[in-house]
Amino acid sequence: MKNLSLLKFLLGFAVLSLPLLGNEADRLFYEAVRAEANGELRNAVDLYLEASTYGHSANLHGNLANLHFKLEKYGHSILHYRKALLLRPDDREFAANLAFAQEIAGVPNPAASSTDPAFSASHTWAWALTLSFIFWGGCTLFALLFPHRLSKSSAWSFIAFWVGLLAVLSWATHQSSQQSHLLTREVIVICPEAELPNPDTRVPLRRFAGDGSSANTEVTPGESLFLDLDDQGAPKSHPNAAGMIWYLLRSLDGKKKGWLKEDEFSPILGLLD
Amino acid sequence: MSFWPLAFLSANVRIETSFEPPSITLANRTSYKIVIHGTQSNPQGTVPRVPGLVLSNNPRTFRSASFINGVPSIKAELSFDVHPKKEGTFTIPAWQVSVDGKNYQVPPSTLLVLPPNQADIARQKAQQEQDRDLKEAAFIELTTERPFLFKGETTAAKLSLYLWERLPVTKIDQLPQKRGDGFSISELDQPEEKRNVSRGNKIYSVFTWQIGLTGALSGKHTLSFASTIRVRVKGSKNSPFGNPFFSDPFFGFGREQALEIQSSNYDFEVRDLPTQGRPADFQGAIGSFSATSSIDLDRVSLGDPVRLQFVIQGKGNFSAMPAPTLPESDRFRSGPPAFSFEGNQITRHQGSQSFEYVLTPLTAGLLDVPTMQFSYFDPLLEKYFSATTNPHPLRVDPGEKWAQPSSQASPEKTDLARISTRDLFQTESEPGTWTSPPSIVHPLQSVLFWTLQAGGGLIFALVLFLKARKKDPRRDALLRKEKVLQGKLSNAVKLKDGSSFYQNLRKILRLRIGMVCGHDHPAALSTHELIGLLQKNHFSSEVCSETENLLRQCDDQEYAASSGSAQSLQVHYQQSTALLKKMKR
Repeated sequence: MKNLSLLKFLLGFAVLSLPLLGNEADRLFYEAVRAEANGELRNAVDLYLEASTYGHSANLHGNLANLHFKLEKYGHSILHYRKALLLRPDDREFAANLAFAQEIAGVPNPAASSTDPAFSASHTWAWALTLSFIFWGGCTLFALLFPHRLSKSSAWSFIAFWVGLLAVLSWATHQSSQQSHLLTREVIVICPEAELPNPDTRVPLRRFAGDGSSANTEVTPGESLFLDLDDQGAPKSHPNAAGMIWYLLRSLDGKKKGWLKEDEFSPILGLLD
Repeated sequence: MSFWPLAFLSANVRIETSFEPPSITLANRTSYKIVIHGTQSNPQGTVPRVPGLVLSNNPRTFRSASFINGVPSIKAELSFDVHPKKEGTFTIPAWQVSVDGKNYQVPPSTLLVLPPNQADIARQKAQQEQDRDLKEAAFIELTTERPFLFKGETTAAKLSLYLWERLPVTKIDQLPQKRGDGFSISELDQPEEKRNVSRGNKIYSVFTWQIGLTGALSGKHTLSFASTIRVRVKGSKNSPFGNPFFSDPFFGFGREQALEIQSSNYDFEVRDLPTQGRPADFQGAIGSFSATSSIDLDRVSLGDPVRLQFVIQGKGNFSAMPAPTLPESDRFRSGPPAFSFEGNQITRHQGSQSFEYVLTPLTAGLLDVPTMQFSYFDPLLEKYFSATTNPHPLRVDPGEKWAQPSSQASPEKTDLARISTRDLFQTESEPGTWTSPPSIVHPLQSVLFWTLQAGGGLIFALVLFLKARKKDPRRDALLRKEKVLQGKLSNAVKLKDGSSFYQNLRKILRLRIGMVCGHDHPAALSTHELIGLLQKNHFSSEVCSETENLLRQCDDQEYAASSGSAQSLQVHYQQSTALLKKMKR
């Protein structure tokens, strides 16, 4: 009986606390908007970040990106625009702001140089579902029509067309899937919080996982890099004696490669969470 | 003039021609008849043309066969309608006709056309009066400001449809349609309706449309309009304008008839615009206009948009008016303007057209919004005019922080850094929909995806299963036959008809053995052979012995004529039912 009462209490608490979480996120969001209107930009950023522990929304990341842009932290700004675009891919304002932020930060716009937008990560599901629909639909249709309602020549034409269509769709699904896989590995280089924003800041990609190591090359905050994965599909990392974890990253074309500390970049998706 | 195909044989062919009647007055008609005796074939040939006579293209054809004094007679007769155009004597000369491949001479024939008599003259007068009545009963009238237009000019015009109040109009089938090139008119909207309008000695209902008439091709052109209305007439043969149509107050309880209404022909001249004194920025605006401009803010921060509104008011061709070009400036960036027109949206002749440009200042300071010039041609004064707006001062603040250009930065970056980042992006005041963190679930790792695949696979498997289960027609026929036999078997038990029972029992056992053992003709097998077949197909000895027992019973009944008791029939029926259940493959 006692256990039952405790169970009821816990269930009630859980049910009641769900909307409270949403309310808390809303409250923090509105407080951040007010702080921003008062010119307290850093306070607004903190409030938005606190709100993001309760939930995520495209507007939240968009506002965070705007604030970071105003604070000239272009790496963070680009990171949050990318997150906002993931939540609302068709928002042209976010896309335009991202392009502008990348232009100001002096980083190349990867969207402009990557593959066709039709094969972007957000279309993987559409391609995969179309492929499976055509596959099973073709099988079923063929089973229904052959041999009584389909002559041999028509059947061959049908099969040729169907196989061709499957090949095209498979290729498109593969392309999109690769983009999706790339996105899971993608990170944005940011300035460490400890450092003051400086337009000329460059982040070194070290030869070895250590502060004392010389740099292979340097990257600009806001630039996209990709985590190197080991055989198990986990990011290649190395913890140092102080507990700081280093990750091996490379650019999309592979020309830049080196180690970065965990506070020098942030993944677009929660891969390292 | 006329051709018709030829068919078959003829003998002693003789041809006669005549006009019936041979003399008529100018207002009447007659028939030109060709009678070909001795054949019923279709003749082939062409009737010669005679000036002053109009012959119908398709003749009426008659064929007849008769016995005259015991002699068979056949003939073909062709009849053309003839309409004279003038008085005088007209002769259709001899001409050739081909019948059954042979040529024959058609004799000449003469028609006398007399001057119209008193009755004809009276009829013509009545017709003219009816036409005049029709024109007075319903007509279209176009009213314009001037008898000429300039090419591209749009002028307001009124198109009025007058319908006499006694005319039993049920509806206007077709709105007035323009006839004539050289002009374009605006779409016809809902008409303004006026009743009891007096014109001459008649009272009319008038439907008036305001239209915009635009000159499209230069030169002199004729313009007219036509419309179709529907009126009620008394009977099927009565014309709505026949006597006593106009004076009959109860006219109208009959069928409906469409009636086309024509306007008069209006002659207009479309003139070319003068080339002398034409401003360089003239873009085709014709009318009488005035232009004003305004901006919505006089002080903004760098990057904030300012709306410049340019308004053109007056009368003219607003529908063909392009947006004035904003002069290029290195201090402002602008996009294409938004259009809006206030006034009659159908004619677009009078009102105000506004163009709204969004300007973004590119530099801070006290700037002047560029002035705009608008040139137009005034068709009344026949001169070109240019309207120029006043400059609008605009104060552009640099924003809270001004990025100083860096000497080490690249030139491109210097230009970008000049733009303040404080006010560039709009903050959203609402959080929107809360979701989980941004993530991508690959389809291959999704339960939903695999569930959908399983669904697709299941549907495919189901289709295959249903196709596989599709019944064999021969097997279906055997099963149907077996069912019929089972029914007979059951009836025989009920009726205690031993003879029928055992006959049907043997048939059903043979049928089933044939089905399960794959034998096509089990009816031809003896009991011994049937049992052998069962053993060959590895049926149990129990099944074989029970089958043999029942078949022996059947043989006994047939050959020894031993009639089984009702009890034994019931027992054998139950045994057979159980046996058939065991004998399944």
